[in-house]
Amino acid sequence: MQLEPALLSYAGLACLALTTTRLRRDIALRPLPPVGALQALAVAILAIAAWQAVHLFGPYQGPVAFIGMLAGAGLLLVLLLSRWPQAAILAAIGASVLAVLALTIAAAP
Amino acid sequence: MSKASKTAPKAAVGVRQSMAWIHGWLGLLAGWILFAMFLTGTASYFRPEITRWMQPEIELRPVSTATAASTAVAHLQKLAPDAEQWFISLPDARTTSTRVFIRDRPNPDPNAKPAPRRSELRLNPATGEALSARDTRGGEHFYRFHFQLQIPHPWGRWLAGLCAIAMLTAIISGVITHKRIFVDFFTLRWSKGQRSWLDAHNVSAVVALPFHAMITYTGLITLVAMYMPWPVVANYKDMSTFETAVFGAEPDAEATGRFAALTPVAPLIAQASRQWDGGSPATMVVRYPNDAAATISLFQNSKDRLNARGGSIVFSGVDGRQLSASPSPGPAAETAGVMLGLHMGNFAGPVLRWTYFLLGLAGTAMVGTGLVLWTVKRKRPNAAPFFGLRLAERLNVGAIACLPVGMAAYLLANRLLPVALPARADIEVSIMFWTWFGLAAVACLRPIRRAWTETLAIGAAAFLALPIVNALTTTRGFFTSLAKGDMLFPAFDLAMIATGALLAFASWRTATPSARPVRERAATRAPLQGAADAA
Amino acid sequence: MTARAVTAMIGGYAAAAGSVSLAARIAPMDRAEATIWAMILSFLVYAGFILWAFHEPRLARVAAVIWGVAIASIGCLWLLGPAL
Repeated sequence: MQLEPALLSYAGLACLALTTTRLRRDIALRPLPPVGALQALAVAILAIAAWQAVHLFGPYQGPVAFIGMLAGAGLLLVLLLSRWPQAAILAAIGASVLAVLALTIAAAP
Repeated sequence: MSKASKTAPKAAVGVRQSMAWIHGWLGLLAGWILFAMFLTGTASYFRPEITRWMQPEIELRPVSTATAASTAVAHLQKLAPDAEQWFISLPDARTTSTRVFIRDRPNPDPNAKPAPRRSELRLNPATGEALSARDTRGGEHFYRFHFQLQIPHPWGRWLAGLCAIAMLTAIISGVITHKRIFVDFFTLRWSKGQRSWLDAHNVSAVVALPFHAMITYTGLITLVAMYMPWPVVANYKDMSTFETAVFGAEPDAEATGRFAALTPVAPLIAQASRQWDGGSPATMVVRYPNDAAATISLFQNSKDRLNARGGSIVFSGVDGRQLSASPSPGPAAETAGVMLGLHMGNFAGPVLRWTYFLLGLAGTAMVGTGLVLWTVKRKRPNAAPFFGLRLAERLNVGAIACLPVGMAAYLLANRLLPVALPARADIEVSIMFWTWFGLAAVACLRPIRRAWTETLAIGAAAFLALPIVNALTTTRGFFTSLAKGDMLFPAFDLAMIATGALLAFASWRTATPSARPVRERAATRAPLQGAADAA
Repeated sequence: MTARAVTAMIGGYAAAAGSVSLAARIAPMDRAEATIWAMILSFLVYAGFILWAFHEPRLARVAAVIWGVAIASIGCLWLLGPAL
């Protein structure tokens, strides 16, 4: 479905957002994972997103797709965070579940 | 950024101050035009789709390129077998009709009046029959406007180029100025007056920064031959020598006057496709058809390829022999072609196209929030605004809130004007500008807050009316199309509803004073962020 | 201010055009490639001249450098003449 890089970018950026002081103070979700773990997770998810982009769009369009989708997902995340921070973070969990599902279906024979 | 952090603290402040000054003024002066360029340019990512929506009479099924080429040639053989050149734009999944343009041979009598230029024809790719549909510029109008600004050639393009270079300097100076932009990456606070506008400007700029930088620079590259021909002048005796060196020689043999039947084109397309690893031609040019010197040139399309400059192959029009092919591009030519491709996004499939569209809206929002920020920053709570500030405020309303209304009016006019009206296409375009500038002028009579609310509300109503008007005036309304399995028209309707909803939200935001009193009571609480700009 | 703006916009354009064209003319590489690289990079050079013109406080220095580069590079190109 070609949206996996966008979903994963959203999830990865949400992890990064959770490492900022402002959001850690304001958000009602508890317990929050430690900053270090979130950063590592973010890097891992974004790496998978990049790999997926290259996998889906090829070596030339892949990087373009990754950067574009990263930016698009970032915009959506910031907009949602500004209005409904909890929902934005929960949506990140939903996005990663969807992405994993899509990847599993794609991998199935 | 790096420049600022590397220099000594005192000098760094100086750099930041001077860059902030440049950013503010260049951004403001170029901003209104840039806003229009961004918005109409963003719409142009759906140029063929808009054109199809604006000619609802035409419903075509896609056929193979070879079929379309053959039917077009058959039609042209009947219509103008002795032409000098046939230009044939072949259809694809997005542009469904074949477009042909005939150039007649010049009259041998030098005193004869030149024959009137023939106009472009649209053909049904399956049958080769001419299509008739309402006269309109379609999506081409937004596309042309975004770099020609409806100003006579070449001044529109020069003005657009000037704004683009201002944008480029504004981007660089903006990055140097805002040392904290990457820290504030996720921060967007609502209803805090100036603070909110700064947040919105930062977020829309920083999050999509690679896109903004890319689209601005590559935009300049699309017209580089006009803006910066001097390296060519320094190296070559004229432009055509340079073009031959880069793109290969154009066929230039003169007609012999001896008849020779034109070779079938389908095998040529198959041969070109093999040479292009499965690529297909976008354009076919037949020179001196039915003459012993006939040539057929095929130009590769840029679908699925980052490089927008595809190769070209020239065949003999008599026996189908390959005469020449464009040289394979060097690194610089490849880079330039990729930059062109990145700007136009023709390679993008539906998912990437929508990504482009979204990022284009972010760019529009960046310019719009920057413009509003300039005025909000300078407004003092208990002082009457000075003339320049009032002017900027009015121009902001005119650009940000009234341009979308003009665009909606253009689309509405397409549905509401009589189909057979003479000069219909030109009237549609004038309606867009009369609505845009007329509404901007009328809005000057209203208090500034009311002006925002009312113009945005009119925009919302106009966009929300589009699906209804479409359903009433065509046979391709939302549900009918959906039932037929046509996804274009329902998707268009949904996009219009989303745009209308966004404008309605922005209008509502400007109408409702914030519940929380903010530091700057008098600050214009204009439409928050990209919402307003996303038409 | 007007002098500075004119120097930045027009002088900057002339200086950028002249310097990239000179580089394209004398670069020891394929003519077409050198020409295209110069065209691609020209806008970055132009933007650099504009930013510096507004950043540098001494107007005389701005004018001297920008118009100097423009005149010198265009003069060299005029003496060299086109390569092909």
